[in-house]
Amino acid sequence: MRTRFRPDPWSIAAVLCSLLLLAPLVAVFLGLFQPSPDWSHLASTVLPGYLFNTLIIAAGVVLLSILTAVPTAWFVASFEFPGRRFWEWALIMPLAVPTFTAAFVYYDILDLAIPLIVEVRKAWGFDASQIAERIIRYGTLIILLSSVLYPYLFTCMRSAFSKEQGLYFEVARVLGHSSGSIFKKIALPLSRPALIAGISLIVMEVVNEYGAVHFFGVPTLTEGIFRSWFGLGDQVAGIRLATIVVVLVFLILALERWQRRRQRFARQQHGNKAHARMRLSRTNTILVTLACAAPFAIGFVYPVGKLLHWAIISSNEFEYLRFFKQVSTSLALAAGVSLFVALLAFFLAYSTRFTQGRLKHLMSGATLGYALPSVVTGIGVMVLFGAIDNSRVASFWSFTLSGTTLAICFAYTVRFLTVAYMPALSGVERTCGSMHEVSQTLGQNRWRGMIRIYWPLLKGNLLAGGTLVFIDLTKELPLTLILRPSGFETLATHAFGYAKEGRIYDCALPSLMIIALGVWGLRVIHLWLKD
Amino acid sequence: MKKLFHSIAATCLFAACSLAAETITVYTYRHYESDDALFAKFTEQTGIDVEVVKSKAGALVERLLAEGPKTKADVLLTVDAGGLFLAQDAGVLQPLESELLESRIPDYLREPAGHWFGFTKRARVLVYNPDFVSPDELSTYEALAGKEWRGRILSRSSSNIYNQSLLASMIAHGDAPTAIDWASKVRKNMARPPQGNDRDQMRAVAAGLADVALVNTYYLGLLAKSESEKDREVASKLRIFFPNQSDRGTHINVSGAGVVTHADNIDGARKFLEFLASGEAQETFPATSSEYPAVEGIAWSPMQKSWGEFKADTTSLSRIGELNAEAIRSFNLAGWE
Repeated sequence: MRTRFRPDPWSIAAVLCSLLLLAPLVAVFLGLFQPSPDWSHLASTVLPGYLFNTLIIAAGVVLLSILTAVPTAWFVASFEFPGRRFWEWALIMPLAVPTFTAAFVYYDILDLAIPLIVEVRKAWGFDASQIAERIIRYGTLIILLSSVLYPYLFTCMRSAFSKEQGLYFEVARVLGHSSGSIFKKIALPLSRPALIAGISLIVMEVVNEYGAVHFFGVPTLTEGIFRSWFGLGDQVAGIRLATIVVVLVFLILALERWQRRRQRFARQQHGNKAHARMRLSRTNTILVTLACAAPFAIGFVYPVGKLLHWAIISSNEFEYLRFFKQVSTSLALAAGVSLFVALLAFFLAYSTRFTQGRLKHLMSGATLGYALPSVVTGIGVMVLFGAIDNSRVASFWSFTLSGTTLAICFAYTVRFLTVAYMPALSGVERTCGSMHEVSQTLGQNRWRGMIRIYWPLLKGNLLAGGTLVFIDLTKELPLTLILRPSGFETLATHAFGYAKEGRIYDCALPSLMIIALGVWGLRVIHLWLKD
Repeated sequence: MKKLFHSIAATCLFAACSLAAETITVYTYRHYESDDALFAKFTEQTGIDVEVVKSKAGALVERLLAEGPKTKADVLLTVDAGGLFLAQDAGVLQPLESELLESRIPDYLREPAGHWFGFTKRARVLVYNPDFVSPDELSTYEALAGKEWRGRILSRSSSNIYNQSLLASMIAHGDAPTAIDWASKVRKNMARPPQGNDRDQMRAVAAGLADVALVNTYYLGLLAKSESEKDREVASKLRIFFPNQSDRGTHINVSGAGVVTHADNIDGARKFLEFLASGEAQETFPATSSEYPAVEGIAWSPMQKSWGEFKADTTSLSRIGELNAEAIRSFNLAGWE
């Protein structure tokens, strides 16, 4: 039965928050239906290439991430072997490495492959060398992107394997099924929702990626947005390309939501009981250890080792004060905003208990920021705040929002809310429906219900979501770059500035510090998950 | 206690003074650390503080548009005539009349009405590996379209504004169809699809993947001064060739600045621009960023001298900037990614 919307302070606050978060996106997409002078030119020349590259890179990264994350998650969740606890934690660590850092580190491989391409050319001719070059370049790009993005899928799969299906596994084992057949027949089909959730996060990251794909000469839709917006000055074409990105992501999100609805039933029936892990033979232990070591080495050890080497040979005079300032800016910004975003996600997710139909859609819409390329969100915030600054309200109260830290924090919130909202919402949905009714029957008002019942139940989800936002923020580059106030440097902008000047060794230290902050954040989630 | 009181009072006074001090805000696309030292020198000379916002070129224009009259920016400093034209075309720059700038900066390096002025020059040249190429084989940009160059050329993506301006200059000297034909043939002659930055093209030439690469001069300078021994070795292997010396000259571009339309401190902005054209500022560019000074008569660095004198294409950069969008469309049609 559809409940009619009755305006009460709670719903009004939730609706206002959602509208505020949607405002920058609306500010940009208002331009969608205006005429675009270059659209037909783009559609007939570069668009097919952008689409092809976007799809092939996304598909490649997803496939490789599945091949990496699913078996390793299965191993650490279902078997007992020496080092299991270490791998459980180490396999998430590549998440702390920013993609742009991985791109610098791995571009070297293309330089190292040049002699090989030259040999291919000598032996089989020019056309063969072109094919070889393309395979190496696309392959390296796919490997480097999956090496830092697969942990999204790994965390989803590990939690699905270890918590939700324990009972099934034990029954299957009693019935004489081997571990391989349990994996194929039970674990994999049952964890499809987690698979889709992890994949959708990876796809969103890939379609929004700009630096690495540009550097590797694989122009995707995001590069097309830059090129038409800033190069041709055709905003509308840029917005249309962004729309294609959003539609692609939206289809995946819709699939994920549809899947998650089914998952809820599965979870409610079987609780969270952990199952006993199976033992491995010595040969299998070696194979499993190798399988876990490979992604960790590619996604973390190699980039960090290389950065350490660069940091040591960098002749740049180390300025403690400046470095300390950047670390504190990055830390304060990431900690403050992630805390705020986690609380906002909690409030909005809890509010879905009272809102129905269209309002619920509005709130889902408010978390769309993650699906958009950062540059579009950034310009949306610029346009919105610029309009407010030049309105009568601003001149009456004499304030300016553009170019302030507030503008950056707002943009971060618009972009990263989804990361905290998704776990919060799944927590709210999982919390037994009757719990809500009981609290209402017992005369608890909404505020008390939130604090006394939902907060203790959802604390874990919020911590996990908030920490993921924290890690994303320490790595964040494009929004900070285009919205920052004067003299504002984070570790990421500092590293990027050096890289742009070609001072690749000097960018090592700030990059390492970003990774250190991220690893620290991951440690927090990991310890919590263990508890 | 008294001491503490005094020091608090002194701090407040200092804070008040620094609040009262004149400032200008510069939105810049240049990420060179040497620019910070230059701005500090300006503050030392004039007492005007410089607030800096570093960002991406296109995003800076969008930001100026969005901020409108409320912007804090006084000066926009960016690279390439294409970028400067986009800013001018968007209406975020205002004309500045300055006799000093007009007398020091050559006509072709500035916008006729004073919307922007170029302060450093960079030439888009060919670098080659002398072991495999004799300079006699090299002549013009146009010659790179010849069949003999199949599989021997390298260049970066056409999203890069330096390539866009080079093609715009070819459109300015001929027409768009000829430029498209050229771009399409050069693309087919490339040893690998466009990728990386100018430094990566040079590394690949040194590694023997191709014989020549299209790059900006200062990148060779940055490579030669790199902390990396490998990069210095790459630079030592390569030679520069200035194309089109027997006709219009080598394509050059600028890094330039203009006064923002809604600048609060126009006078400070003027002083800043005039400072950038001063001998003191101009002398720093060859040594730090390996760019050529825009003002005539300023000494080049020993490295620039070793590259040799050259004839520069003196087509108005303002015109080249206007043709930027046309150049992007031409690249799209030519299939140069």
